[in-house]
Amino acid sequence: MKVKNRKELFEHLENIMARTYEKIKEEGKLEYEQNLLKSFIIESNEPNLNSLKQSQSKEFKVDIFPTEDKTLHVLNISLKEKKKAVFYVDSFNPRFWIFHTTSKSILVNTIIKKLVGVIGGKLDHPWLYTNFLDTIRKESTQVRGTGIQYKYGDVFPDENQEVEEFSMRIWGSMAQNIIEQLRRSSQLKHTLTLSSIGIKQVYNNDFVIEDITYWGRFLARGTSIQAHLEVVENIQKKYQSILSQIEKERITYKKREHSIKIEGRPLLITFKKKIEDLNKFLEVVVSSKIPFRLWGIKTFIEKDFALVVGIDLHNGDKFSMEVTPVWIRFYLPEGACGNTVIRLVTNLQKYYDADTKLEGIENGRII
Amino acid sequence: MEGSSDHTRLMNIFLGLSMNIPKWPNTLKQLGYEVEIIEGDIPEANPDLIFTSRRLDHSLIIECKSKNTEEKQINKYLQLKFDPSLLIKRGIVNKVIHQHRYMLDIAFTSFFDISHDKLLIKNGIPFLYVIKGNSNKIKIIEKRISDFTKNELNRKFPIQIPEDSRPPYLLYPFDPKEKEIFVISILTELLNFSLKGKSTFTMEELLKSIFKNIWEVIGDHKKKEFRNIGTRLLEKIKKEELKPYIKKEDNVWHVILKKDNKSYQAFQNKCNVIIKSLKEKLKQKTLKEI
Repeated sequence: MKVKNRKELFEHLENIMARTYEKIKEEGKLEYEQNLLKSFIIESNEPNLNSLKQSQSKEFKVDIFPTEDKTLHVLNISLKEKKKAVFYVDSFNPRFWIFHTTSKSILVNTIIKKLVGVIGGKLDHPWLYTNFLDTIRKESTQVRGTGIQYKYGDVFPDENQEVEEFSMRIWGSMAQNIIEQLRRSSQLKHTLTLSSIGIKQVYNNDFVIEDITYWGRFLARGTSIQAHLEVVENIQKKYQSILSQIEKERITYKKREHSIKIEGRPLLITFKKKIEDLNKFLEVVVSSKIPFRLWGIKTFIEKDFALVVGIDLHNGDKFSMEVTPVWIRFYLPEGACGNTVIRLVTNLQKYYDADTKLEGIENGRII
Repeated sequence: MEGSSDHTRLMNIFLGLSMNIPKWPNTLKQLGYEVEIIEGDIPEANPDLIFTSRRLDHSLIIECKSKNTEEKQINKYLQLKFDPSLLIKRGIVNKVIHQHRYMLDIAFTSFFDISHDKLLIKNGIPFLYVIKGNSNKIKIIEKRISDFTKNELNRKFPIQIPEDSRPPYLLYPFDPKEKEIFVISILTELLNFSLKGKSTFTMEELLKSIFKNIWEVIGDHKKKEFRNIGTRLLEKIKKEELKPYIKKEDNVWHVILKKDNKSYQAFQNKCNVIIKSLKEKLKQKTLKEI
């Protein structure tokens, strides 16, 4: 559909939300070619949407169409197999773009992952770590579902783990009680990572039902697009505030007349699950591969103490780390994107230890 | 880490004590000390570190040493101790509130026990001995020879280092003697250039990109050392490990690296070989020195 401005777009999306809600409520499924509204938050270090044209590759092609509103664009993105999806991209906040679409889920998930996966493309997902999703869940009008996903075996090669993979979906509001009970199990306590939440949010007399994944995808149905936009914006604002806290700790070397002044400080990542083989662990974390997307060179000071200097392949920002089996000091240099450290921590929660935490000295626990 | 400089390590250890660094004590910070000068270059002396505490109206000069002290250097510091107001008048120390009460102490620090050093004993200069335990881990920092003029500071020693603490290494890694970190930084910068589409560069551009605004503050002698080490490294690896990735034409370097994960992993493997071989050489050198 051609849209001229936000008003037209949101009317169109609200119709789709309402129709899909009614259909699911009445028949329990959608009609053929009928799709739910999906929105994706994309973290951007590139102020100009046209940069997407430059990052297009053999794998996908991007056509960008302006609207009357200069921060709203329509994007046609096609994969090399000629499959095409339409996105309505809101770039009002230059750091966080919102991609709305009603194209097919599998297709749009693939496209978004390809867009974000471009090396040096300066785009990333917001990484909604466990306690972030937990807060959103607690603040919602009604909790409908909670997804847990731990996939150690997908990333780390060691096969001698008590639990390599653990996935569960709990429907209803008692999820927290169930998780607390599972946490008492020594085998499972490292695996209870939230990967998605289902919530209902009431807005005036209307509502939205949202399924939110840890990588910033929202599946929405209900009676109010405003309720959906409020959920998305609330998460985006909260996330941006965390990002700002992290970026305040960046290490900056300032030139003075007689000397150099250091501002900022490293961040601290801690684990409850001790790293048994630091060398193997780091080989995975800085291997360039998903999910971490970090490239690095490591050197050992002691058997259990290593230094890593590296680059985030999303944006080319440099980083360095001092690593022990139970903590990492993470140095984010001047100008570097704080999302690097949130991606690392969120994926360590999902693939290594659900109890991975991030602390800043000034602000205490951040994640 | 082989071939690393004690000087840089000590700088990092004491800088860390004056900041809130996770998993490292903040002993100096607790007394209000903030770093005022790092590797200062002032007419009276070249102090490694100057910390000042507003609360105590006091500055602490730390000189990071390996083994030897020099009379000339000590005399320069004693002059400063005799008339500390020089540091205020020159605008070098800026954090003092009560200038008439302002005092200054000088301390030498080392990983080696130089508490029998005649010059330090004769002049009553405190020595801060950084003592390592098993597997090179720092376990305690002791004050020897003499006290500081401030009791609050005296009471903070010895500093016991908790078992799970490690000193920062990457807070201030800017020393040509810190070869391994410097080489790692160069290799990382090659990838950074390639990723950002900068396929040609000069040695000066490479170093500026590594050091950012610190490059302007680094003295000419050190800059020369960095240039020489950097050039020697690139000349060597362009013929060997990184032959497919870098070349040189008319003093301009080229980096050729495909923008995909496989190429980055292959490049990473080559970098690891370079670091391994460097470590081996530095180890041999250290053994010879011993």
